[in-house]
Amino acid sequence: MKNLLHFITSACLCLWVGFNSTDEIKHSLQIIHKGISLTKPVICTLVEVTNDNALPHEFYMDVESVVCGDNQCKIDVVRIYWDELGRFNKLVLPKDVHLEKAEGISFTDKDYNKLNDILKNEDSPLQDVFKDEIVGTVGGEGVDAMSGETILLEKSAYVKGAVWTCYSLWHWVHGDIKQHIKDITGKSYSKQDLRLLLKQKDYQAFAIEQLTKKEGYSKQTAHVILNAIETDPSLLKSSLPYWENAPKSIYAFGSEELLSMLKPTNRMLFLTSILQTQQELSPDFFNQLTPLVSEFTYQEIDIFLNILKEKQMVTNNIIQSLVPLLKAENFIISRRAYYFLEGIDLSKENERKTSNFFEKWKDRL
Amino acid sequence: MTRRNMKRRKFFKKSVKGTLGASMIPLSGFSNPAEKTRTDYNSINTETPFGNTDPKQWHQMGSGKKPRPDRRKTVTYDVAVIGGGAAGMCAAISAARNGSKVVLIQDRPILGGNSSSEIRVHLNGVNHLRNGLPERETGIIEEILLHNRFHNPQDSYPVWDHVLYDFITKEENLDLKLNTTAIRAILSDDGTIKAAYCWQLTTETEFTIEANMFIDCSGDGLLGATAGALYRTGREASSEFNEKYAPNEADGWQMGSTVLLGSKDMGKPMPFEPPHFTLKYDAEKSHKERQLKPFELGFWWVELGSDEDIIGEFEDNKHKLLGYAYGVWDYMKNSGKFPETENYALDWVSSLPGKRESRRFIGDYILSEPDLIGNKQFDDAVAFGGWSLDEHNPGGIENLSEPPSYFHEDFEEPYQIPFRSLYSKNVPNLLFAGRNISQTHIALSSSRIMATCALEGQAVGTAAALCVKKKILPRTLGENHINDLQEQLIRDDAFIPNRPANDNTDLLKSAALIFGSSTSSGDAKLLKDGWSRDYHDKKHHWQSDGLPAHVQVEWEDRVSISKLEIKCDTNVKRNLMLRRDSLENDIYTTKIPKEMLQSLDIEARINGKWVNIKSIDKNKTRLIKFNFDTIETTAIRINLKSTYGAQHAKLFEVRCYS
Repeated sequence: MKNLLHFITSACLCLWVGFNSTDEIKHSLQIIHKGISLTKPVICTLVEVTNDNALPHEFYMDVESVVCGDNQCKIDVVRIYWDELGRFNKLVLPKDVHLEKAEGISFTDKDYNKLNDILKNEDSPLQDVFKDEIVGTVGGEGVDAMSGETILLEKSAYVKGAVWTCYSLWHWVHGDIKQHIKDITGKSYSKQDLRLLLKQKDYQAFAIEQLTKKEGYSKQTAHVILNAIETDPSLLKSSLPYWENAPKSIYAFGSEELLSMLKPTNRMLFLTSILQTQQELSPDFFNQLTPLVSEFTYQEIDIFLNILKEKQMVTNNIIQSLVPLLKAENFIISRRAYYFLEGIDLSKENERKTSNFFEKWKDRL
Repeated sequence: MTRRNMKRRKFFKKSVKGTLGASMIPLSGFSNPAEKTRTDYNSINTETPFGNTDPKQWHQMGSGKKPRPDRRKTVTYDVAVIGGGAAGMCAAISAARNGSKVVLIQDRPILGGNSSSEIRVHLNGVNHLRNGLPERETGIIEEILLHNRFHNPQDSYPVWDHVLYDFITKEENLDLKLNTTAIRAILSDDGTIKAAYCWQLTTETEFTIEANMFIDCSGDGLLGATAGALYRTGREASSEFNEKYAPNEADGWQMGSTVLLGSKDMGKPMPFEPPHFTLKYDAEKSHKERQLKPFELGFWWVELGSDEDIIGEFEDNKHKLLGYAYGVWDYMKNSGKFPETENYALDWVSSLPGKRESRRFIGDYILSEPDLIGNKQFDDAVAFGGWSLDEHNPGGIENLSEPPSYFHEDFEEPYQIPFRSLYSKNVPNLLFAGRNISQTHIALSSSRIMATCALEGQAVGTAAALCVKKKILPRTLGENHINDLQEQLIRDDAFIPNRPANDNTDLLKSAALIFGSSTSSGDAKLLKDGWSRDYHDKKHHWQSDGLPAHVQVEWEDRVSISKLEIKCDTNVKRNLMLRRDSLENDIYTTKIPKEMLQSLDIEARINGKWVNIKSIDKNKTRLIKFNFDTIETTAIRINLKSTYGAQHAKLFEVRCYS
């Protein structure tokens, strides 16, 4: 309740001031920190710093410098700063506080620089380490006991003598908090703001995610998302929830546009999404898709034929595109096409072709 | 006293001499004609106080006029396994599953050896390597541990006993003889063991158990010793095998046995009066590594070994060990230094010390410290270990000033155990697994751990079955057919480090294509690369992106299939053995692994149509086997529906056989 009061008071204050100056909003959050518990959340306070436009500018949180696994650590309260998208900015120590390594030795400048590099690395080896892996376990056949720090990681992943500090801070920096920050920022932005962010590199995945949450569906928004994907095809995956939950007309529009810009590396992702979605697609869409069949791998053909069957979307045009596959160089592709074609109504000419295929390959069917 | 017992007593009182009637005496030579007329059997029968027991038996057995029943039996098997611990159970199961008729002989009323409720040592294995992570054992021992997770979520040791009983007795081709001691070997003229002469305590039965192959997993190795198998005891000199942790001179020291205890919080102050045999514990003189906390589950270092005949001294040592165990508890309760024990009381103290060391048989190869530390790669590797070199101190609890164990060294990766260390050098049809294998004292300090013994057990059980099939002896199997043994072990989900499978009878190898419906990690092609776990930081898996998902295999030509085998993920980086403290953290779990597949089905494409072949709704094993009538197909599809909690399904291997 106290935290909630803080939040309400601060929020009201912001409104009253009229967004003209930076201010702070406190958010009480429940965070899972891998070094503390995998199941029990820690209650902590995240402070949002707003800019002149009352939009999130940065966030910070005061945390204990180390979640100590061996009761041999000096614990200080330090402040971590993130930008508005949850990316690590800096670590600030209170005056007269110095981080310590083993045996009470203070961090050197080199150590601080290394710690900064470690905390900036989203893909640090620390991400996959559980706290029990930090210390070696020794003991008899009965109950294991814990020993002191054991070097389990590549050296670049930690400051020697301060593995617990590196581990603890990295998981504060890159834990659940990042998603909380993104959601807070996302809520603060309007759909128009997010659309603008779609044009900015590094903000696009965030903007798509938040537009999906805000159900920001319009042809204009769809256009901007498509443009972003065209520039960076890896955004297709994060955009799929947007399309799959879109109104029918937006989905139809988006699918056709995506198809026209589809890269081979994204084909399986796109086809799988089509197979799984409940959204409806027009025969025109399939007429556009079918010419790609000649380029498909077996796996893509398999899923494409499954889509046709599932969506009951077999047209003469599609059949005409599939029949040449009976003579594909790769036998398992031609066999897959045969299995599909033999189960549908065909013209006499096409029936003859499938019969010929059967006669030729009946021992391999 | 129950009404039934009262009736029995009444009957004794009035008619104990009158139980023999002429018409009821089949054994003329032992009857007493003089008493014939004194019995009214009709009246006795109406009382029926003795159920189906013929009352004449009482007289006959009591008077000695009827001979003790002749309970001598000769039974014949392909493989006889002595010892019902982790090694023996896995040996018996693997031999049975590989086609042999097997008997498992256990000299106690329960299975499980040191892990049983009588002793309660954790069934440890490669719990953690130097990187802190386990490299957990798979195969039969994992199947047992998973069986426990399904049937014993309460972590009860007495229930564990019966989880094991259930596991062993449900196996076809396997007979279990509990309370049966293999006392001595009966040899053939050629030096092979012809039979094991056994005594079953509870039935007063003498069994002569004949078999082609004998596997001694008893720990102490009495059968092998009576067969004349060569063995060692004590410590080797460091010079003999170039062992840096061995003493300069060989001696007789053998690591001791331990008495564990358990206590519980009674919610109120509990006094403790030590029994008369208590031996005072001198904490002041004790090395600091004799940790007294946590105290709830006892102290593994309450241990006593021997320089001499550790087997012969066992009962005397047990008496002392009980004294020491109570002595430590007395110190905890009554020294005033541990107020946290005030509400605690003992609720279990073992009466059977858990043994670590006695005989070590000599095989064609003696595994030693340099092999372990240097991770020697053996052509005939069949098992692995990785527990630290955990040599307990000479003297045990009678040598308080030294640490209770020297954890000499952890391992960076699992070491291999060769087949040549698992059969006797001089008794041709004797194999062994467990702490009695062919190794030095220092090697034993690591390899004695139960899950490691279990891998050896699976290896020798499989080897014995192959020997029976091929009508050869273990040495010949090792020399000429080691590939067959290794391939069978890997197929049965044993893991041999750095030895991937290469089974030419696996039809998946001839598949034109294998792919997954979605992929979040790995590659479906890796499902036929011969590796059944990720190893050396290399992926050998395919993982779906969410569920449901499927894996599909396509062949260019039709294939005949009647078996499909899948190895799914159970997270070998997490230990799942029963523990007394029910430890739940990132490397120990008491739960069914969330990664394990729960439900799946398989389909085959027959004449162009997908046909459901088999379904499993509640899978309980990592190695999932489907056996079915032979089908002709061009493709199979494995539909993965759910796991026990993981978002994605991970597989390591798929195999198909005709």
